[in-house]
Amino acid sequence: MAFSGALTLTDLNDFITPSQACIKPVEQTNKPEVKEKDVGAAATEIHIDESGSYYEVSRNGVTATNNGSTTGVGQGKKLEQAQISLNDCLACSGCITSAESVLITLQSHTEVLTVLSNEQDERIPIISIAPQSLASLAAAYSSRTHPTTSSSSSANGTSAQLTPREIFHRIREFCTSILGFAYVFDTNFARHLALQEHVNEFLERQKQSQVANGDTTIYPSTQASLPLPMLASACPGWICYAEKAHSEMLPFIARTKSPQQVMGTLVKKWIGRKIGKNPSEIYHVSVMPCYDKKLEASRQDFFDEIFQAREVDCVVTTGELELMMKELGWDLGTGSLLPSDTTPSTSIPVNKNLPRERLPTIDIPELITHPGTSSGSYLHAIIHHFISTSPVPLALSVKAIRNAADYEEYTLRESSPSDNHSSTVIPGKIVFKGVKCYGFRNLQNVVRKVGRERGVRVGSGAAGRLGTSGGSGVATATAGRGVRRLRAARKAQGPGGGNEDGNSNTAVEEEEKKFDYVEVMACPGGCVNGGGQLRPPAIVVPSTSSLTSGDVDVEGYKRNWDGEGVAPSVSSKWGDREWTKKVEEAYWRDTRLDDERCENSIADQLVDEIIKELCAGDDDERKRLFRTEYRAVESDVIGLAVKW
Amino acid sequence: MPAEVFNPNPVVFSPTKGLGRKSELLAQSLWIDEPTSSDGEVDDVELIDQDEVFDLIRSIYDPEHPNTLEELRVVSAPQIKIEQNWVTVEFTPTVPHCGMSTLIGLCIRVRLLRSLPNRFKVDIFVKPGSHQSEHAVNKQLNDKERVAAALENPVLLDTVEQCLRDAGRRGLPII
Amino acid sequence: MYKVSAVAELPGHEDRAWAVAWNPAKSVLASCSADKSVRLYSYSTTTDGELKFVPVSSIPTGHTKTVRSIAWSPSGETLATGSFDSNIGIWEQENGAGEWECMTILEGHETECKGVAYSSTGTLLASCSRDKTVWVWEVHPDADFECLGVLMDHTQDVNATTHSHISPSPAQILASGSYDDTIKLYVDDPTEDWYCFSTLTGHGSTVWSLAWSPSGSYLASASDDKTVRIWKRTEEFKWESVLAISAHDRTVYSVSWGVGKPKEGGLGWLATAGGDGSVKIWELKEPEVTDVVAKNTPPEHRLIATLPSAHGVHDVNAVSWSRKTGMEDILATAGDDGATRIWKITP
Repeated sequence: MAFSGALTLTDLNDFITPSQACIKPVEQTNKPEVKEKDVGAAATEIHIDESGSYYEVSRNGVTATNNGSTTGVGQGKKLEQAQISLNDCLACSGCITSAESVLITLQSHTEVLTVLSNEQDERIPIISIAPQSLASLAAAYSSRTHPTTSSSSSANGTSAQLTPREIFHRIREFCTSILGFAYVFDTNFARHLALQEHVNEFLERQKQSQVANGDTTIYPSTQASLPLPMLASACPGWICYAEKAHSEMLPFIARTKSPQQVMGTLVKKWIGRKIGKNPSEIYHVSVMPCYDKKLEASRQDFFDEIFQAREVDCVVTTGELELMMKELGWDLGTGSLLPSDTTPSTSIPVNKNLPRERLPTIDIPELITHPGTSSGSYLHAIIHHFISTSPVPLALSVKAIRNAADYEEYTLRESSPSDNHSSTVIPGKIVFKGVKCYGFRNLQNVVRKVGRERGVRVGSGAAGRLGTSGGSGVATATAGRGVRRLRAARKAQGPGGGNEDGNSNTAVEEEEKKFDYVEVMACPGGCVNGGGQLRPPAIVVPSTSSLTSGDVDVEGYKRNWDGEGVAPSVSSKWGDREWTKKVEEAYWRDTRLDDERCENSIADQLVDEIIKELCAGDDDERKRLFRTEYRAVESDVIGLAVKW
Repeated sequence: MPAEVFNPNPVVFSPTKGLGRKSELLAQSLWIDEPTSSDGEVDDVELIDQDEVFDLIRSIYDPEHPNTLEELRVVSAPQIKIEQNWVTVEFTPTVPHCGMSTLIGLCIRVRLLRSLPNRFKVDIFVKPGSHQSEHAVNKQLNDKERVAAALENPVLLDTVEQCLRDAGRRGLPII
Repeated sequence: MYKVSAVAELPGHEDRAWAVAWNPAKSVLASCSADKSVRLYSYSTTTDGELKFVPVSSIPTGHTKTVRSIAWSPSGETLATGSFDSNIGIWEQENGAGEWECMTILEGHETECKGVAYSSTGTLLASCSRDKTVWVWEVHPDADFECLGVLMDHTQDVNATTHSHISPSPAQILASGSYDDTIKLYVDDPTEDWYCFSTLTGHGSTVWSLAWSPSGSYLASASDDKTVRIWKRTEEFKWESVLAISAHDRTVYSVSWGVGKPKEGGLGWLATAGGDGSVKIWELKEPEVTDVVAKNTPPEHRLIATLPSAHGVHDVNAVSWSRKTGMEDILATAGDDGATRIWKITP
């Protein structure tokens, strides 16, 4: 079993990878019925046939009668092959993983093709594509056409810089005319709804924490009051990791669904209603920059018990989508089928005779822009809300730590200085502090910081799990004492809750002001660099950069990058970063900032309509539809399965 | 959770009769807890041969089956070698893809760790060619840090204890 | 030839002692053990020139499992403990003299933490684990730490990490040895993160321990393949295996590289210890440069002393040279018997 798409990101060291080989716990389900006395007689052998199936054959030619099914060759009982399903992965805490190396059979592009070409399957196929996937394809096909256009025939490559929008239109053409999808959407509108809900949730939490502000240290993690800082919930890699290793962080994670799942709700509930289909009568595929989205789609929370249907039935990655197009002879560079002689001899499984005419048009704004980050602009949506609703003008300052774009602190303060003290201009009160935090390493530091600030013990993960009698890491009896005392002393120096007037040292204040919000993404560079994205084309490595063979580096040392061992890892590492920049650039390529406001107000209107239609003013129903829950993965590991 | 038993129906052999060497009295004291202190006086006198070592491990249970390692022919006396203070135990997994091999090896190691005088260095290997990840299994079983850490995992230790629960029988039937 | 003579035996641990570390600034020695404690001994020289060791305190640590490794910060004020419970404890004395207190706990490793090491500047701490990762932590004031990097280059358990003591280049090198039989070398890319710039292959089994030569131009590694290898820096970012010594009859668990009693061209003394219970002392010298052809000429090595059964029938898990001036011939070992022993190398 192997992945359909090529694995990516192999060279980045800042990434969550599985740390233990996957081992599925083994339980003996068929206890030998024989008594110990006759054991000597119960001799069977395992035979393997040419197809690799295992058969259990008893020594004297009689089929072992444990489970009845005697379908095997000869007189053997066919043994079931061990399979690891997504649900096994979700339930297991054996490894902390991004789905790359988890065996996924149910969510692959071949599965999509199988469903689409199945005459018996009458579900209406709908596909939703993430903007980061479009950016990846736009970057890849821009750079691909660039060097070749000069010589090759495709002179109609009008501009070498393909926009995500163009890419989207070409994919839409492919998905409808070749694959037979009934509808092709981007997920930006779903994100628009998700962002609104995200802001709502943040405001709810903020209100609650202000009420509870009498005691700034205690944030009971009850359903009723969820604490600040709120942590972003769109990244399934982060959610998985938190559930397995940092359950103490779960109350902080936003309950708002990710855009993929909001899209799922919209497709199965709202669009379903419009086209007269119930959730199980729609086959919803999403294209995502990330393998972990497959895990997300498989979560029980996103399974409709009544209709026995998932919000998203199958997730394919950007790479898998590209593979599908290649296999079916679709040239994304031109947006047309390749000439048939060069086309791979695949039978195109154009779907059954869909009564397409009878399906109504669904009008959803296309590729809405959300300025901020290419990973969804969650932080910026909240900042934007503050700025647009504040009675006093607010000033935003951004502090990049260690000049890395993956960790930035955003501070909003009132820009009217209170000048009643002296002539010195005193910056106004801080109203909001948010952080953009991408990558496993930064994520670790944020987890530590949040845990410390909010007085929750970090790391009930491996340590707590393995410890006897719930002993959690270093015993707090001896260890905690020193730690706490020190923190208390430090806290006393600066203003605590951040709500006091910043009349002392503002630097201290800024330092001491706790985070209100963190946009967390597990991948360095964010979603444009997701694990499911396309690999950088063979050579984009710094051609003009200073690093040529035998050059002298910044430190004045002669570096021979051709030397064995050194060069490959270094160049590919930089290549990836360079490539991520290109994808980031492609992501923003066709944003029409002038249209944005108008675009957004149309989208806002539609969101209102949809919510009215689906929830009829019922706030609880809205939450049921657009929010979700998390639970710590408990590791009641079976002794037999412990990997040591 | 649906699961795979690595060898759902293994061949079981009846135990060999041969027993009755002098060291019967060792049986109890070895198994219970003879701490690391007793090296020196007694041990130098005590002669330990391959039968003795075999007696120590023959009644360990297979983690997946209600049979002993002897009954499954996972261990046998000829597969044990002793050269001065160096004991080598070879064992034969019931199937070449047996996922329980490291656990079986761990049980053998724990048993010998607890019962042999500590002047002995013990190496444990699977029979050459008997396991598809022979090298990995051998490496793990002979890495004392891995072993030490494994024994600090309560769930794993519990499983090991289960396998060792009647190891003191030394081939004798349960009374 | 030299002789290894016993100076002191420091019992105390109730279980296997895994590591021993000399405080770089004070006359203190620390050991850690499977009994989850750290023991501290102070030493002084008596009037007749003899070293005397006195147990001063024991830290119960609160780690729920074996304390596998310990490291002193260069200031000698802070002690880091790495435990099988996957955590790292950071310890300081109350007001610099009182009781040892846990200042912070570094969590992040998923499984057993097997090694901790401070950089020579004291600004960085590295840790490694069975989870195949090496973490680089930046030391901030007030026992605050920030994770600078999670290096996932190894394919198996990482058994040992060490920073180069003396850095011949602007960049400090971090080395890690692993169950995957390799050694990896990392540097801090000034514009980006820590990254692995080289993988050293040659050992036939797990790499258990690493030690930089006092000059920083060599690295010694101890392995389950019973050898000790010497790696030489032949270029800015190139290290080559120049020597493989069949050192012990069983796994070599520990290697320490001290300055020894340097002679002309001396590279110092290498001490090795292992599962065969012995401790061996090797003298290393720069190769005689007869022609300037090969940069990878191995250093000359000579076994100058052997101590069989350093801890009775038990394995010797750790060996460590004293760094103190005047005590370059003093060595500490820790063994499966739970004891720490002090030895002196005399002609």
